[in-house]
Amino acid sequence: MSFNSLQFLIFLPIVIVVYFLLPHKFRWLWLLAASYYAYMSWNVWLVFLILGTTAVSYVAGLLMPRAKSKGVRRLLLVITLVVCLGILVFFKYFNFLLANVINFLNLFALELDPVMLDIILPVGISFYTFQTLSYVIDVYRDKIEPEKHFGYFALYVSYFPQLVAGPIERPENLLPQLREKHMPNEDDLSVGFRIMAVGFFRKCVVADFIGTFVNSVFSDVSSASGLAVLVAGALFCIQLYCDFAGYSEIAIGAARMMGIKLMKNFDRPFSATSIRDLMSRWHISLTTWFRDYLYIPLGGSRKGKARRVLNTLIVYFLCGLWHGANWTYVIWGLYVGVFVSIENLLRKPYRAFCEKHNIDNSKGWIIVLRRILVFLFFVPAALFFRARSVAEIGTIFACIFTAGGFGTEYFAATLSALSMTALDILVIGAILVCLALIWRMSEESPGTEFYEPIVSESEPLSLETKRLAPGSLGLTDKAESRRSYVARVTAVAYAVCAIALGWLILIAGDATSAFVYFQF
Amino acid sequence: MDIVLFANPILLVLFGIAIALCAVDVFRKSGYAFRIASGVVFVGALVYALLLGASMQEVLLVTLVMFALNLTAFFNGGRDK
Repeated sequence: MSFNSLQFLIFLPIVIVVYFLLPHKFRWLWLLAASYYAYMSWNVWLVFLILGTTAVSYVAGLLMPRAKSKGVRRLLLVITLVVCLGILVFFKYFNFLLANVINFLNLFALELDPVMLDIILPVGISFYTFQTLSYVIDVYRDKIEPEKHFGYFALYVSYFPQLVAGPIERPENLLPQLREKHMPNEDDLSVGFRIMAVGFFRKCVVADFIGTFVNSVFSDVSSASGLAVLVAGALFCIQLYCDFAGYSEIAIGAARMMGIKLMKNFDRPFSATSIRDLMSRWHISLTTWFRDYLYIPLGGSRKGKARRVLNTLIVYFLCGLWHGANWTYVIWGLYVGVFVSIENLLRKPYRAFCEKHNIDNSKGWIIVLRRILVFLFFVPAALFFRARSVAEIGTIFACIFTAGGFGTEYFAATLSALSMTALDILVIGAILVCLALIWRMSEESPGTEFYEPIVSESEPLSLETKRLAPGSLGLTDKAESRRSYVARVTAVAYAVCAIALGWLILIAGDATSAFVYFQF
Repeated sequence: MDIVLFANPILLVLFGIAIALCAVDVFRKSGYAFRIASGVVFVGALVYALLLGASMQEVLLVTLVMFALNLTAFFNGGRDK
């Protein structure tokens, strides 16, 4: 059941209303049933897979604290990792690994025929596997107490807003909230609704609309001009961000309406002034997962520069592979890893250079320049990500470097490759203005306006919101309250109208509207 | 390119009135009556545009303009609670 479907728009209100009507002790059961129902809507039999992963990690979590020796605890952890990751590897990577082994053997003129098993990729397997592993590892590290109630644990693994595409939640954040008794309140409902509205706007109006132009170029990239490929790459950056951030916001908003606060997954990534900054703002739940459960255990930055570079490349290699069974994702990961490593190595020399030449990095034009450079770095990364094969990467970059030109004919050919009209350009302009305003709103009130991020030791964040004092506009409290209520309602009404129109445009074009990150 | 919005003066006037009424409310904070009137005019103009055969992209464009204008209210001292 996709978020941008009629079924979900009927499903969610029913779940929320019944959730609040039920006595607290039965609410976990209702949410669990709803979550499994939502998952089974993709494929009924895959529910046994998620049940299996849940059962294995639940048992391991219970047995670990009772283990008499550290060796036994470690054995339990290893068994759980092997089982959970084994399931993930089989369903997601088996055909990929098999194909590469056969290709490798064929280098020795063995002439083996390609073999492919008909394996379904379970929706969300990468997400719930990592979420389960974070629980097991945290229990192993004595960071959390194991969850004894199987129902709450199963709900933690399968909670429907974030099951299929994140955020990858941490047990110390989600489990206590699932156990807590939440009462319906105006703040949660209104904030949750607004976050969802923003998410649907990003997905239905921005991502899907822009996606039509990107798909037009990538349907026949070899005949597109270099400029068309670059523009498609830039548009794909926006599409990917809005698609995934939109999904995350719908998930966060849906959970917030039930009083549950999920972690922030994107933090205005295009505001980043460095590549490290970009990666710390993009898919935060995944990057922090890799930081906490792979990068730091590997030694992080504590074992010298060379080891730091190696650790970074390993993490980004696996991060790329996590996204999909294709060498294009590995190339993406290594491309990002190389640039992050270069940035790490050049950080001190850059600071010394700035100090020597009195360059103030907080100056407006320097921030803008750095943001532009980061975006320019991100465009090739997006092209690697979008390509369907390594050969296509070659075609893409060949187009960029050889299919250049200038003049009205060249620009007309570019627009034709993008299937873009002047009206579409105006709509994209209006979309970018709306996105910038939404961006600015989240900048002015970080977190609280839309959602409160988890305040952890490593991520202290301000939860203050600027509130306008009643009466400061020369109006009475009542008039001010009525005025702001009407302002909110009309803004939401226009947003809903825009979302409906975006959805209708997509349907009219016979295009599909799956979330890009569902393939992971 | 056949854009119904730009080809029909009545539509231009109606959408212009809707935008102007909304802008008056946003920037002069003159109460919510202007905003509601703007909404009514906008919906009327939208329906008329669709009846004249305006494409979804055209309608989306004006909707986004109105949405952006309403969002600016949140920066212009009209912040909601």
